[in-house]
Amino acid sequence: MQRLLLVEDEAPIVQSLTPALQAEGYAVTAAERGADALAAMAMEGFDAVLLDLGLPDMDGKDVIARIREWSEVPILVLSARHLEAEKIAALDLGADDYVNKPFAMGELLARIRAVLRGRERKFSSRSRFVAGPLGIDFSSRIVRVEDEVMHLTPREYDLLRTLALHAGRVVTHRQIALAVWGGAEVVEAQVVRVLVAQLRQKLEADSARPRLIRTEQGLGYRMIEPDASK
Amino acid sequence: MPSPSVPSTAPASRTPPGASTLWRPVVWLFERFDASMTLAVQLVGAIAIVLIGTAAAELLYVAFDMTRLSIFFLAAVLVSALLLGTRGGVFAAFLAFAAYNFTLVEPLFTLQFAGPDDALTLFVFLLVALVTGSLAGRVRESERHNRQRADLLATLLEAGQTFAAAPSEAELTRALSDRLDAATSGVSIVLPEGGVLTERTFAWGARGLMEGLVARGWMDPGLHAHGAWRARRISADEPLGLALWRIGETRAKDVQAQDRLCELLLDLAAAALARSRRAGIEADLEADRRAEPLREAILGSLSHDLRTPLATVLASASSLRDYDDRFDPQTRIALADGIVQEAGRLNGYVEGLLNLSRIEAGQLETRLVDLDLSEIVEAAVRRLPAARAAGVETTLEPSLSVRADPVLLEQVLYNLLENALQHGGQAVRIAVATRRHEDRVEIDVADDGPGVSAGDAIRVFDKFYRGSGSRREGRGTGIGLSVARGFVEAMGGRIGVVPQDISGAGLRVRIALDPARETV
Repeated sequence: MQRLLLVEDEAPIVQSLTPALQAEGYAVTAAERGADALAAMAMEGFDAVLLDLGLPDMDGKDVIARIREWSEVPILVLSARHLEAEKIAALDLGADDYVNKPFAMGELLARIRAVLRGRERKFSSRSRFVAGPLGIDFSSRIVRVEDEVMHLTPREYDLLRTLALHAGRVVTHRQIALAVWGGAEVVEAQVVRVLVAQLRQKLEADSARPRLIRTEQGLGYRMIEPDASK
Repeated sequence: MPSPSVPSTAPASRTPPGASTLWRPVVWLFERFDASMTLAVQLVGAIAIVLIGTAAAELLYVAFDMTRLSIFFLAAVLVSALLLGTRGGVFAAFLAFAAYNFTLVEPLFTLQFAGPDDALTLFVFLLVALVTGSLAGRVRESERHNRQRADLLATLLEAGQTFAAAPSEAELTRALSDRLDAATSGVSIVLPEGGVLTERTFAWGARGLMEGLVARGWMDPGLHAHGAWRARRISADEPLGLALWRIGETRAKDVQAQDRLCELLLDLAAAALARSRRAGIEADLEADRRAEPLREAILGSLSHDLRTPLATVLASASSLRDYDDRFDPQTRIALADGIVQEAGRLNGYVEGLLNLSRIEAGQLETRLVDLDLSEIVEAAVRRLPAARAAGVETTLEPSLSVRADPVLLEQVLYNLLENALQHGGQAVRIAVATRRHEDRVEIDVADDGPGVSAGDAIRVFDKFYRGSGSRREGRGTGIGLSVARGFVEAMGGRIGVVPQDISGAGLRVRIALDPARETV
């Protein structure tokens, strides 16, 4: 049974989320404050953390930073849609993904599954990534679309690998810049956009309507989830 | 307004500094002559003065047989020059020369003279008279010139100070208009940027001419003149408006100087306007900067308070839809309860927002009637959840009536109770007390929660303000107390926080209302 830590100060929300999460087979522990969440994290292991950014005792972003000091546990942020800067900051601090409040249960459960799978991928030694027409062989750096080998520049490949490693989750502009350019130089969001456009040109059937790499407006990009069985 | 220390342009204070009282009449004379000194005045004045001098000399000659009287004629020239300027002085010199020759030089009463001696004397006299006349005239003129310049400086200084001290743009443009009127003895109007002339101003002159001049003024920044009319944009570079004026009675030779004065006035006004506008922009920016946290608080409040109940409703409803068969009955009921409760909370919030906007829009209609206060208090307490209502203790003075709107007053009390419950902590106890105090009825709602600091005491009634520090915890929307204040004020009452003896010992909000009419 996978264990979830739900950090949320609004009791009605906790009460409304818990039954469905339990029905899906998760064990739910609720924490009202950031300090409680950190204490719970220290006491027992969790498979994922659902974190509301507006906590009574501390900034949710600080909770992320504190957890990330010692844990790689997937963190899913529950946030309001308009707080874009908050979300970017949370993602850059190491949150894995976010869900906009209010959300339907199905959306939350899909996101939880994605972050949990992402953690599995992180620890797996699988060298192949397959999602729809796209196939990546990490060991040989060969990328195929519909079995046709695509020639990517080193940066395009780095970008694709980064997105694939986080498939199903959002990757911010800054995270891409760090992974592709190494953080040695300041990279404008515009430069990232250009690189993504180049990659889409090569991978997407219709780069105006991308299916593999989707844009998260104002935040970054999200690659579709890999096919389950391959 | 000119301060007493500032020299004004009024004639009474035109005397140059340091002029002795003795000279006042002479200065006064200067003033009068200055005012309308035409060539004719100068000629007539010179003739009169020389005639007086001649008469005096003739008298002395006849009576005492004195002969060296040329000094009288020179004196006449000097006086003429001092009073009338160079032109008067030179004219008087020739007159005096003729009169001297006519009255005192043999043969008498002719313009002839006897021999080379007399000729030399007369010639030297003329020379001396001319030099005296023109020199004295020049002294007089330079004195007048200096005085004019001092006047001009004083006028400009006073105008500059007035413009700079003007509390508003309207005051400033009015001051400019006043100065233009005074400088030109005419009429003026100052239009704001892009402004047009109104019917009132067309009484001053030909409408077409005025409008044409204004149009030209807007187009091209320089001074535009047409007949007695002038127009100029206040500033060539900045959109500060335009001045249109008609000069009054002004001598042709002074028009140019007057235009220059008017332009200087406009420049001064432009500098002051630009300065005040920059200050205004900075103040706006500052206000914006200050308003920013408020805007964020409002947005944050709206977002949080609308989304949180919605999040529960949406999550519960979608859970019920998707997992219905996997939930036991208690879980289903708990989820449905959550939906009902949070929908109610959402409704309360929307209600609060609507009330707030009604208060802001001034659309609050009150129906003031005489009410039994105890009934209203009890009704408000009954609206609280039963578990919380138990923590409310009421001390009600019997048969106390107020004049108020029953719906609004109940809402006010409910908001105060809810506020105490939200911010006072889990085990908060609330005391409601009513009493008669002087000519008003007071209602106190006090809690034993964390209380507020003195700084917060003023702000608790602010829109979307949720307190700071420990009291911030909880689910307040920052609306309840501002609605309460709006309602109480609409009923003609007052509401405020009563300072507590021990800081941090709860919050006590007091409402004061008019008592019912019957009991007065």
